[in-house]
Amino acid sequence: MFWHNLKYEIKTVMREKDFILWMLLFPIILGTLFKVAFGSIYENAETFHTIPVAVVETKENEVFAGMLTAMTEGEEPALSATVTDDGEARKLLFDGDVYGILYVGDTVELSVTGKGMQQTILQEIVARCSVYETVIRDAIAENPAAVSDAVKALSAEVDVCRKNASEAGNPDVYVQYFYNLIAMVAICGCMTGLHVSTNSQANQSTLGARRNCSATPKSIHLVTGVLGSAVSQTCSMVVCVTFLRFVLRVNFGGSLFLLYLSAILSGFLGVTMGFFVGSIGRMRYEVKEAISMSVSMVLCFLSGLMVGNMKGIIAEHMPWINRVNPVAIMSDSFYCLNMYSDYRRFMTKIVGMLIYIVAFTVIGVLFARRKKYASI
Amino acid sequence: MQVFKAFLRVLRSKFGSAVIYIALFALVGIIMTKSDTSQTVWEKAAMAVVINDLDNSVESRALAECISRGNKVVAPFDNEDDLTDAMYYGRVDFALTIPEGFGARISAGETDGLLSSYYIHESYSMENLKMLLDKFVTTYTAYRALGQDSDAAAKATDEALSKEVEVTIASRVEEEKDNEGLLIFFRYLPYILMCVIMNTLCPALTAMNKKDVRFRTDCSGIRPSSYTMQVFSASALFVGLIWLAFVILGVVLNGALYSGRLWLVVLNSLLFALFASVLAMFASEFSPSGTIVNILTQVSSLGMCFLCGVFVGQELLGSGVLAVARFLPAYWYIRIIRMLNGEIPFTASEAAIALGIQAAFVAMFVLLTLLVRRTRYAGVATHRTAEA
Repeated sequence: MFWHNLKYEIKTVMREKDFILWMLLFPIILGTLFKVAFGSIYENAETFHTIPVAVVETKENEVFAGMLTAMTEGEEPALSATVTDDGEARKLLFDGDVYGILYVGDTVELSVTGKGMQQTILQEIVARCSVYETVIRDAIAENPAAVSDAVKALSAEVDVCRKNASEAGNPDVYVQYFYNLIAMVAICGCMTGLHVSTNSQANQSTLGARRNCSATPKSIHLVTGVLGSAVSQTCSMVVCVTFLRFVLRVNFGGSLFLLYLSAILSGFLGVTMGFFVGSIGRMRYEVKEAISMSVSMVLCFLSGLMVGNMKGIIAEHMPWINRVNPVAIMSDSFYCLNMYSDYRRFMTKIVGMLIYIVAFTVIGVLFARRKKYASI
Repeated sequence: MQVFKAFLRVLRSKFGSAVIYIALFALVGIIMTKSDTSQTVWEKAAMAVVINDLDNSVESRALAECISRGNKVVAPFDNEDDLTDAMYYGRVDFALTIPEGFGARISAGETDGLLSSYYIHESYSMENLKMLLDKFVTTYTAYRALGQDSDAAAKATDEALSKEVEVTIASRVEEEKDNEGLLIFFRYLPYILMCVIMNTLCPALTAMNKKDVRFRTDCSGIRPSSYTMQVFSASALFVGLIWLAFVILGVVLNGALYSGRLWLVVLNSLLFALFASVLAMFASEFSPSGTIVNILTQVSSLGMCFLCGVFVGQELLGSGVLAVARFLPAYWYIRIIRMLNGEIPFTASEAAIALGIQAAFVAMFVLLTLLVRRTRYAGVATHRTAEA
């Protein structure tokens, strides 16, 4: 009976052609849009590139001239300077061609239009000029004979810090949008899970009424229903990951096999969550659908689907939300595969998902069975 | 008015689910607004740094003090995984280790390889750190060259580096910034409006478009144009109420009423709400199931919002992406927000163009809806005539 029911559940789900089509198209369309939008942001906006700056000279300043030369030389210099007049410099600034204007006279002043690390670096340069003047002034006051030594020390090219970059995975922070996209596709599986519970309740659907009269135990209906939906959701997840990884060439890092495994489990979790929501209470299908969908989207939002640094903000203020949010657990599992070479944390996430799957299924079955209907 | 009343009755039956959508997406809007940051005056972009001072000398403490000025010093993490997480999600820019013997080496005149940093992103913060560390070491070395002992040199370095440098904000004469907190709320509103309106209006419209209801309406004495007008009017009333709820929420979040140019943003949101409603009408002409409506809503709202700069600023998106985004109303919606935010110059003509284009999108989808409606009805009529 179990296998018979499972076979027909899978057949029924697979016959929902428009739903299957949309579940496949959904990650393809959104993934393509994400790739178009974020494909090069990390490289262009997050990683360091030479900072363009306009320089307006009102008076010759040897200290600054020396500093500017040092900063504009080399393979990837810190600055690229355009020496020009005030009007042109302001035009460059407002057109976004430069990050700031350095007004050079006896002192150096900075004018910017916004706040950012580029502008802060420019401020550091101005501050360095100011420090230079302070030290020379102190040197003249304290020990005039050592002024040249002080100047030499200030102008020395130094390499104070050894930089050790993390070698783990793909550091592109925008890949997390794709983690969240996979998690969102998985959590959308709650709609199929919702159908399972609706189709097993006599007060929700005619199919549910017929099933309640049949001789098959309800638990078998329910479990086969969940498994049938999980099979269709698995297909969606496999297509989603394959499309993102091999067509859009998103670099997820880590083991591909474990990526698929994690995505499939995520899909299963989505289905059981829908089944759980569908099983509780006697609300109408539309209300349960609204609850499933809006709660899913809130969970996706908290996981960082819409605002990229949301997970970081939550980790700072309410870290427990990240630990219990199923969508955050799903996207974290992809993140752990990327960033950690050992699978300890990844396994924690997988265990977390399994706990949710078992809990949602068991509670869902407990709520859905042995219901009596005085009138339907 | 029969159709109008019937439609409102259908909407009332969907009231429970509509309230859930409105409440949860309003919550999303509130969190988005509260979690975003805005600026009114120029201030240094702070780096978040973990400092492991293994030396604990006068020099290392002076260096730590110098770094902490204007930046955020984060306490060292218990394990490396937490540090990696914090660096990946941007809560920490880098971890700096001041090794044992740093004070002795810098006092002896060494300048290279004194410190080590650990990071994930080769970002601007790393360049800023390099400048900061170079500045500290060269200044300290200069004071030592003047004959000062290590304590005095460290103190003098600290004093020299603590002097603030003034930075001016350049602005065009006509450029002024409106209430930024409110603008952040309105910036995210397109996503919320699309989700709420499409998820609530589509099922009601689909119910009205059901074959049986439509056939019965066709048999009645009501003219098709009157039917369409009544459905449009009832939809407009419903959407107007949703829009009003969010406009009031904006006032509550802002703590003050709209004034001056901020009315423009209210008008902007009204046009976008109308766009979302005509999109819902258009989609419902194809009688999608509830599940398909949900998926369609997410694809259209998320796709449009990401492409047009609602979630990720337009200034970060490539020119190719923005060229495509111009064909979507959310792009023009965000342009008005950017004008009022002072990101791009505000001109009345530019604002009027942005509003006009959104209105044109509304008109286009109204025409498309009418066209699809007429085609589908004509198809049914032909089919029924042939059957007869």
